[in-house]
Amino acid sequence: MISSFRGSAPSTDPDQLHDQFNDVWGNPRGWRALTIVNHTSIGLRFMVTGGVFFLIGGLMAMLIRTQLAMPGYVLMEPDVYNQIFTMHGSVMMFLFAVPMMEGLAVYLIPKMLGARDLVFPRLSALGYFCYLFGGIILLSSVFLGVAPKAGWFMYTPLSSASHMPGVNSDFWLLGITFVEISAVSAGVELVVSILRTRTNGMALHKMPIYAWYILVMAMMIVIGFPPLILGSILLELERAAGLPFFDTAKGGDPVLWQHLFWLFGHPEVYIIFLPGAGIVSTLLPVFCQRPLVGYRWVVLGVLTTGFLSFGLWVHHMFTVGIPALALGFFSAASMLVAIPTGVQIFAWIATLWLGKPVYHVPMLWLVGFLIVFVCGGLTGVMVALVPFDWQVHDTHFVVAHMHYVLVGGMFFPLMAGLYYWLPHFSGRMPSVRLGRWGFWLVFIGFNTTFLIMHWTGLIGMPRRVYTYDTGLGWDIPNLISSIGSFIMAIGIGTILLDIVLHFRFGQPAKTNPWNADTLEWATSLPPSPYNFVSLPDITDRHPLWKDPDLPHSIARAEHALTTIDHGRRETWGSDPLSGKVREVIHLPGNSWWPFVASVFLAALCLSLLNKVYWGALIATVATLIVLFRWSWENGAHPTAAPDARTQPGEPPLHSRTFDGPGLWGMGVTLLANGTLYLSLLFGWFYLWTVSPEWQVPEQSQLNGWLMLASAVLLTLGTLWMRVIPARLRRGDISGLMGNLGVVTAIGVVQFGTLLWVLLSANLQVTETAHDAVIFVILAYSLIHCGLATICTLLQMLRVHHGYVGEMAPYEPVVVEQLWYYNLGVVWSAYAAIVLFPSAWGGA
Amino acid sequence: MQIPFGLIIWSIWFAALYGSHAVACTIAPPDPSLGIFNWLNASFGLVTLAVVVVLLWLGHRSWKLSRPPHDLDERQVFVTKVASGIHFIAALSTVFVGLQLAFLPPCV
Repeated sequence: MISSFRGSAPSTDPDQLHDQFNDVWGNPRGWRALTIVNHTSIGLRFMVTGGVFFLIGGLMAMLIRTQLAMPGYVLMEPDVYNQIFTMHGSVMMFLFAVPMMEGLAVYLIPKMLGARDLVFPRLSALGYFCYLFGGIILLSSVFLGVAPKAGWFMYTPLSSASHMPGVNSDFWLLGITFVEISAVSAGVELVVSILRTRTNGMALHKMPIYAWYILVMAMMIVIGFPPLILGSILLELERAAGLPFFDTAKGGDPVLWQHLFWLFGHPEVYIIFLPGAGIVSTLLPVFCQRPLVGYRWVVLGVLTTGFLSFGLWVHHMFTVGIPALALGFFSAASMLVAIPTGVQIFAWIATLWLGKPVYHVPMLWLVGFLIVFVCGGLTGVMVALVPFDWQVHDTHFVVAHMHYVLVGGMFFPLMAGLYYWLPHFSGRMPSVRLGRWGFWLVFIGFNTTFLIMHWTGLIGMPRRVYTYDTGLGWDIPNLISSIGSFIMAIGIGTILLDIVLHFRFGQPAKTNPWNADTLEWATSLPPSPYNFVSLPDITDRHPLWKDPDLPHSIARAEHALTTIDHGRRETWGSDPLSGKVREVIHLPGNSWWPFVASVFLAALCLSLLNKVYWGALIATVATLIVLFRWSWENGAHPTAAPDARTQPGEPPLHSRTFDGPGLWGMGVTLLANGTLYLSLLFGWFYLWTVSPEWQVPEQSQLNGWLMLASAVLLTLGTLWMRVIPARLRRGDISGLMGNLGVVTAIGVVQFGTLLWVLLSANLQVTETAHDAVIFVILAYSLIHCGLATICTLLQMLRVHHGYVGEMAPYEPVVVEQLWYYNLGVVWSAYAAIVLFPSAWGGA
Repeated sequence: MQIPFGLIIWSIWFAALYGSHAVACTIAPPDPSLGIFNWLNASFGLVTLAVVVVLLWLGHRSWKLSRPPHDLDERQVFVTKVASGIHFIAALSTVFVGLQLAFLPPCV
């Protein structure tokens, strides 16, 4: 372990060095801008695209409020109204809130950590294009008049083919799943980047508080999104191919969809709120000019919120008919989650109390956040109480509560952050006057709209009704809400005007204009594509307060990792706990692969939407080819890092070690994948236990012995695979290709055996949910076993080409994890679909 | 892993409680006339108690680690104290959610 790298770089003229860095890290223009993978550009693209989707979602909100302004008023027919409110929720949740917060994190995290980029820049680019194309596909349904119309949580059976035969629901299921690829990939990227790329000395307790929030948020995305991805796949399979997962008559259960949706849906609220709270915890100390009070307590609060939020999902289902004891568990957990949030709020109040707050525009938004979010939190505790929830369920009270939590917890902090980091995006300061007008109009408009909506709900107005009769007492509150929404819209317009004008008239920002403490203000404004020409050592949680000259000494290349003539994009790879540097991570440069892969994925999505299944098959194969080709440019490949030399005193390149970011990336990805698989097993056991018409065939066609043989073969292959990295660690490369060949051969036989199990089972997948679930479990296992076999085959080829070997031993360790994962999948599948039914008493 | 371990235990306990409640209600639901005094609440109560004891012990252990005579650096003190806090929070959460067993009968 190396303690300090200060001054290890060759002495070079800083201006010349910046030019050299620009040659390696620079962004191309024109069509080639599609190849950019740099986190600054990708983060900005996420935010701008999210902003456009926000305006579209906001326009839909205005249509809804116009329709409801007066009783009996018909601006839209019921069918159009259904589409608009469904799309308003879907756009705001999936195309604005999550991507916007992820975009901001993608932009900020490397800068705050003293890194030059995220660990998987090409994955960032793929994520962005998936988001863009998925969003466009989803929104196109509005213009085609076939938008989803079953509500943003798409409850079955309303969203099923029997009740909604058109393509409306398909747009949602396929479009949102496409967008979720983006969310999960950004989640993986952020987790690994925060844990492994902090600058030298940035131990966990010196990490910026925002990074803690994003770490928890990203882990929540990784674990929280897969249940919905699975739910969407199952519902689309039901709609397109008739597999009856949610059809009661065939042994399915519509409530399973609710479980899968809210397993995602409730953590989603905190996935949106936590980055917002992270912005608050970052900005308040700056505007109070003192450290955050209770850093450790806040970290505890954030971690606790993240975990507890996974124990609340059933509180969205209190009216479904679940036993009282189970409701009690979830009600208690729902109340409990208010405590860690309360800890954070008290830490903020204490920071305000002990500091000397300066009320710049960002501070207005922070104070607005505190007021609005606390109100939303209090009504949250109210709806956590089962009897109260029964009274207000599906009324405007819940709509008001949700907007107080989400707009208060996400939009207000986002606006604070936007104004705070505006000099980063433009190099200019925002206008104080227009900024204040924007805040007050939004604050007044928001509260006018939603405060009274609690009352509207309490007097009985259900959500999602397209109109209402006069005389129910709803006329005046609705009119006030609608007027408020227009005031809010004027506020948003004012903010937009302010932002546009500031690019032209804003005062140029000086270095660290707010006297902040975190490293993102040590870059130039706006920042260069490589963030820092030299990477500093960190000894304090507030590096810029400790050393105000740091931005200049960084720019003068007085710190580490300043060599660039090798042409590699490099950043530090550090220990997850201590932050001490232990390798140099070399990052991939600009590439067409992410864009091309996302185009094929979009083609796959469109083919499925139009039921052109041969097209879907071609697009799948094309996507796989592109992804494998992309993975080929790695490690010792000529376009990656064929020359492994580093400067004297510097650690080795990550691809020459056994512990690079790819290893961590694979681990976190498998965690997400495992959550999806566990959700599938949950569905299987849930249907066995709860489904009212669960049907088990008298005689199972599933060949248990064959499946056992497949599991044993996989065990053999995994054990053999285990030997390969072990020998590489000892520096023994004898028989490397041969061993990989043997493992590949075992993989092929095992895949064939499992395929035989599936084909010989004679499953009636459209007749019973039982067989349909078995089919999905087997298909899932097959896909993963096939993938591991192909990856092992590619490793063999890479050994042949000299990209993997004694000097670059890292990749087999990454592939090894997939074999372990598959081992868990196949054995648990065997236990679930072969052993469990015979023990339970079924076939 | 040391930092979130307590809440991982809580999550497993919570999922197991909810899942096994559903399974038990399908296989052998207790007689509703027994109220809260039945085999299921008793079993859940014992498991909850055991989990709370384990969490408190782990929390106490982490706390002791963070104090003298253990000579830890600043980072190690941070990790052990946060881990200790997480264990205690998890114990508190287990007690609070588990308290429902003292008031509500299962399966109805």
